[in-house]
Amino acid sequence: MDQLQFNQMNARLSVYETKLLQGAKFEQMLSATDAAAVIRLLAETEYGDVIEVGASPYEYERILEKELSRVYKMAYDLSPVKGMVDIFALNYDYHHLKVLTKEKLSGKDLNHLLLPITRTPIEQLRQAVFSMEGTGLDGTMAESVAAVFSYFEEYEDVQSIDVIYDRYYLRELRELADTMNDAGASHIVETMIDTINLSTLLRCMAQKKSIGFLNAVLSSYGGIEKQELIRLSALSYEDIARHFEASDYAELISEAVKEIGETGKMTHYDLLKDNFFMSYLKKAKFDVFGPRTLLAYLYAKETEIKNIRMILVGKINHLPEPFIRERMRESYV
Amino acid sequence: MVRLNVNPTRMEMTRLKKRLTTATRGHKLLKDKQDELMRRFILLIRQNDALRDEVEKELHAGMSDFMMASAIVSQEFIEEAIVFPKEEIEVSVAEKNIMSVNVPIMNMRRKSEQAEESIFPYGFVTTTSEMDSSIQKISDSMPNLLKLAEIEKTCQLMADEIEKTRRRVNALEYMTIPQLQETIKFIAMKLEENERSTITRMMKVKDIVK
Amino acid sequence: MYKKIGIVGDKDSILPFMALGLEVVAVTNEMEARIGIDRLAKEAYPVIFVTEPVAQMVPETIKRYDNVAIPGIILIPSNQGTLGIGKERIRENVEKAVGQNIL
Repeated sequence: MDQLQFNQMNARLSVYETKLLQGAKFEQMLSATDAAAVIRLLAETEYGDVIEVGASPYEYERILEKELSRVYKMAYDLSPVKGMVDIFALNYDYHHLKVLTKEKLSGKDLNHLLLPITRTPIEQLRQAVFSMEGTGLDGTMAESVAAVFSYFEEYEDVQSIDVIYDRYYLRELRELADTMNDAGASHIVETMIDTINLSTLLRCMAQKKSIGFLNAVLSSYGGIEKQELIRLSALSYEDIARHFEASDYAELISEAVKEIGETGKMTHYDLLKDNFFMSYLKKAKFDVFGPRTLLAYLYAKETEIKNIRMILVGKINHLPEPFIRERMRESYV
Repeated sequence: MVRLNVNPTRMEMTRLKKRLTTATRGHKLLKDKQDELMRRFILLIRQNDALRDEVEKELHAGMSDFMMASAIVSQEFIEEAIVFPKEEIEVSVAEKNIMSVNVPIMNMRRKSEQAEESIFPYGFVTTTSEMDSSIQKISDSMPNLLKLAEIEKTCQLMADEIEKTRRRVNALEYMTIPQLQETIKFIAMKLEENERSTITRMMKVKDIVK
Repeated sequence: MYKKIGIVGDKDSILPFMALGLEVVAVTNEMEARIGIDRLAKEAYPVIFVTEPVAQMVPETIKRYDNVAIPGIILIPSNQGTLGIGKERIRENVEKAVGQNIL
């Protein structure tokens, strides 16, 4: 891929990056007395444009969605290669497919679960789900719809809806990265899938799931071989940690295993996984060429929104500050 | 004490005496019932109180955990994950009679136990292990929560019945029985008086006849 | 006969129960609360959990089901913690039955 075509975008992004919320801002929000005060602090930042005067803190989800949808729109306008933005936006398409599928199968009205970030128009997705065969969609996504419906028809397993869509989502993610023909993008996607697979493996072990189940939920599109992961599921946590000792994931896994050993849970793993991915993307910060900065910026923005949401939810529900703080994700700046 | 407004006749007295026996026996029975209900109630309400403390703590912890776990992704993602659940928790309610109070006996049935399946209805990509553990926590407190429902409802119904019974015991003890006793005493007095005056009259008649 | 369990409260508090297959009725005001509870009662849900803040909005509705065996309306804390109303109801029962607080 021509790395130079991203130059203009990268120049613009370096400006946008300066608008990302800084640590000091997060400190202010964390020590704010209530959610309304957090909203006021936010209004002074680039979120100001999406916060209406007198907005209630309870509408935080609307505010964050508006900001996210603004960011994606901007990214699509900015990137000379749409596929790059798709790498992060694809998630929302699959979310919508899940919602529409569950709506159809449960008969409930789930319109309120649709989001304003639409890589593929909702109506097109609705058609595809309505036909139960993915009509009107291309390739992997069309296949995913057909697969979900034919499996559900036979087994009526609710969980399979998400599990199957997830599998196709990760496959399409890899396909997207491959068509980009960009080593940086490919590696990012591979890392994404690996961290998801590792988390899935550990969670399944905690839930005492069978090999058959693992086979269904693990993706074969990551850097770590699926069969290798399945083999690992028979080992002790300590042996799994040892297995990854020499890999990029050494610290991530050993921390998770330590937590499981101490508390029996892996609450902290979710955080570590996000932080791991962030520090990985941070290396792109100084890229002048190529598309990695865009991916890093989008992830930085997603993480920023995650952190703001946690502070707001925490404040609205009067949770103590340390309880919120320990869950905050590492930010990009 | 007001006595009943009745004719002071022997027949009336017999009738009232019968009523007094019934009332006294009723009073004893009700008093026994009240004591037994009270005994059970006190045992149960202590359990209720302790269980509520426990359940409230468990639930609040589970809810807070879930809330923070769900704050990591947008509400739409969370709700999508659980809107079509796999688990079904159901109860059947039978009624048991404790000292003539119909109280509920609840039985819980879980689909996950019958199917030997996990309770999580979602995939792994957009959800977190923290979500798993917070849902598990709430799931684990369901048996206690239903136990609380059963005991608390039972206590409530028993408290009503105890109050009702006590009112009836009191009515018998402080109204009906004393009234009856008073009236019987009054009739007895009246009858005695009548008898005395009859004797006096008879004696007077005897004197005249003589 | 097995029946589902109902739960009425603010959405944040009761959402996790959706994952367990309870009938989740999210309400934001007095009217929704009253309609929600009455509907579940009418549809013969044997147990209806109601969060304390919602119960506080509709005390009359809660009371109406106090002396019937079904449904059992049981107060639970919200995600903000307990308001002590559930405990208060236990104390009321004690005073009704015993005449004094023995707890």
